[in-house]
Amino acid sequence: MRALRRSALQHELGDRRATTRGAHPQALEASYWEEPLSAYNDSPVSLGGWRLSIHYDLDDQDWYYNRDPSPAVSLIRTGAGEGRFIMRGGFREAPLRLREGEMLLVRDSMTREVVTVGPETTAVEALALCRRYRIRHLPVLQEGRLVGIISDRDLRSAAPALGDPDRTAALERIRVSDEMAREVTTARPEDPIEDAAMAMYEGKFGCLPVMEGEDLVGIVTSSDVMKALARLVGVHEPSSRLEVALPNRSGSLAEVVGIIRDEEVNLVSVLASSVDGGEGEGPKERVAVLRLATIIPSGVVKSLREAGYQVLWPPAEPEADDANPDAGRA
Amino acid sequence: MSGRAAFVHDVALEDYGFGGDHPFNPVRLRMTIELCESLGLLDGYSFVSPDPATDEDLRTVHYTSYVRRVQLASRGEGDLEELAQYGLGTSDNPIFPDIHLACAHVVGGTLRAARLVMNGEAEHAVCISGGLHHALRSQASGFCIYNDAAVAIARLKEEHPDIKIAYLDTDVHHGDGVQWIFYDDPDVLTVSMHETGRYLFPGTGGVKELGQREGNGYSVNLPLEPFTQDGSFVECFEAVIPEVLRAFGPDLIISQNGCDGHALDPLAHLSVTTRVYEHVPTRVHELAHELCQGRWLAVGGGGYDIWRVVPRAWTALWAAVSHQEMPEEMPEDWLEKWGEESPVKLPLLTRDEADDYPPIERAEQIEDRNRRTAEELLEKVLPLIR
Repeated sequence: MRALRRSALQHELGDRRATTRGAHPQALEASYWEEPLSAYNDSPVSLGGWRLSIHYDLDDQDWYYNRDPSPAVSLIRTGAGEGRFIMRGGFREAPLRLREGEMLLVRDSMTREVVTVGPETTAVEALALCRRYRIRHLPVLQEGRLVGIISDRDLRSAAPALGDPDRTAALERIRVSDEMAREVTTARPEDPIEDAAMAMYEGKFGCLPVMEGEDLVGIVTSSDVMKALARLVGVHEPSSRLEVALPNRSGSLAEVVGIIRDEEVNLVSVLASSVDGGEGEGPKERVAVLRLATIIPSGVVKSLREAGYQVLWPPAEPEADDANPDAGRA
Repeated sequence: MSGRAAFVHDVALEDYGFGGDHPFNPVRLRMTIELCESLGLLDGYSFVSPDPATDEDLRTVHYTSYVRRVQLASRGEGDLEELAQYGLGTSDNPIFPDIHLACAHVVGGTLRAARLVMNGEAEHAVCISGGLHHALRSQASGFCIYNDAAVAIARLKEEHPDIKIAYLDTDVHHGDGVQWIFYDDPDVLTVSMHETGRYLFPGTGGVKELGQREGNGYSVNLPLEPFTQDGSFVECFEAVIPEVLRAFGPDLIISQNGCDGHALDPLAHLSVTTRVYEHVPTRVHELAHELCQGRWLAVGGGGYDIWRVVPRAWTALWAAVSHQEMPEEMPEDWLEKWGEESPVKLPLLTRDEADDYPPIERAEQIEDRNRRTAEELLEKVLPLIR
């Protein structure tokens, strides 16, 4: 059995900054291709200035038996500058596998370490933070309360154009409070990710601060949402894609799913879109995209067609010239 | 038997099948072998009979717990819900008695064939039972319980520490199992040409799946459009495969020869003909001589029109492996015997004819798209292969 090379472990986790604030245990998660790391159990690792020990909450045997398709590493803070890894799960064979319940809520996709500024921060300082952390949005906190949000673009466009001799002086003079947006649309950690996507799309926001009551607990950006959605619609298990037109009546999706169940085929994912049929109030058409955990979708396709559903993919099999639809299926 | 081709087979390998009307039907092996015999292509050859792979062999790739699960299932034991977690007992991979042994025997066949070639006992070898490319380390998938090619590769790597192996998969489905198992290994180049996973099982096999860590650049995927047809398939094969294999410089080529891209296959929509299934092994043969002293192992794979496609495609494969010319006409005794069993009319010629499958409407668009995929792939992958 190969063990994960320590350098690889450090490399992987080194890309993710350890969380250093907050009294709650903060978790970092990372996924691996490598096999169980028993060789490293309780051995010290240094990461981003932290001294960490690796601990497995499962022994090898359990590791195999509890074949969780999704390995995860949690970094739990145990004291100042110390922490430990908890490894769980199994071996990952395909990229972008979805963990159970993961990526569906804002809290699963948000960044927890939020770089913030105060209302009196100068544009120069704020822009320096954006550059250093490679971010574009800064929530503005006053006495711990969220009072606004500002982007690097807001600040840049507030000053004279690049090359103008007055630009530097202007950037030093401008305060965040001069340019920030005071009405801030926020999200909650428990919001579904699609709500965040819709809020950002409708308001043309690049990010949403995530609030738990009065506390800023994270930030979710358009690229976080994009990544979550990409994972949501991606291929996580070997499966075939099926597209079915759904008549606009209640229960049609349930019926489709029921037919799939009757064929004893497992569903990997379901997406259904609603498309306007045309002029305003016109009839709506929907298309369901389902991923089936089978290499033989033809049984499901046949049953769906028999039940009157229009299957958009896979295409109907060409009529066999020998009038035997099961040609080649001994 | 150096310089000769070896056909690794045993009737025991025909036990690997799921019964009933399941599409994976080992009758296709019998039909292929009898067609080869009847055409005289096996004259002077005798089958090399393999032993089943041992548990140690299987564990080079598969997890112990998974092998144990398959063995439980094999005896009709085990919790069905739990087995389903391992892909066992699903409608794709139903459990049958002695499933472990049947599949371990197939793995043993591919392993034996691989060793014959590497030890110089045969120049080329074929094991048409092999090619179970979807099996993952701990999951049965797409009719595949154990991954024979992956086990053979892993064993050869132990036996020949510096070996570089190129695995070339032209099954209509992405060769996902082999790819994931060697995804970070720069000494195993996996190349898969398949119908795009946008719709088709298993859904993976995009151009961007290139391998990772040290293995970055050593997973190569050429996804083709549905209804690609012969011309575009051959064009893309020629554009990509020789160049990629030359850049890698293998010591051994293993080809997976699934023939489920054929227009008659019920599981996919690539719409190629026997021309592709003759072109591919012929070219792989030439490349093996050009790049690695002829060391070439060919395995089977998918193929679900067992009457009209598989026997002819794999007979063409054996002809290429054994340096023989395939006759044009199907033999009468074979037609007579299998014609009685077949629900469809059997073809009278060993090769499809050009006008059997007329070109489809969007052909130009499809060819163009495939061409661009091939270009994109080469651009991405060639700078990474050393």
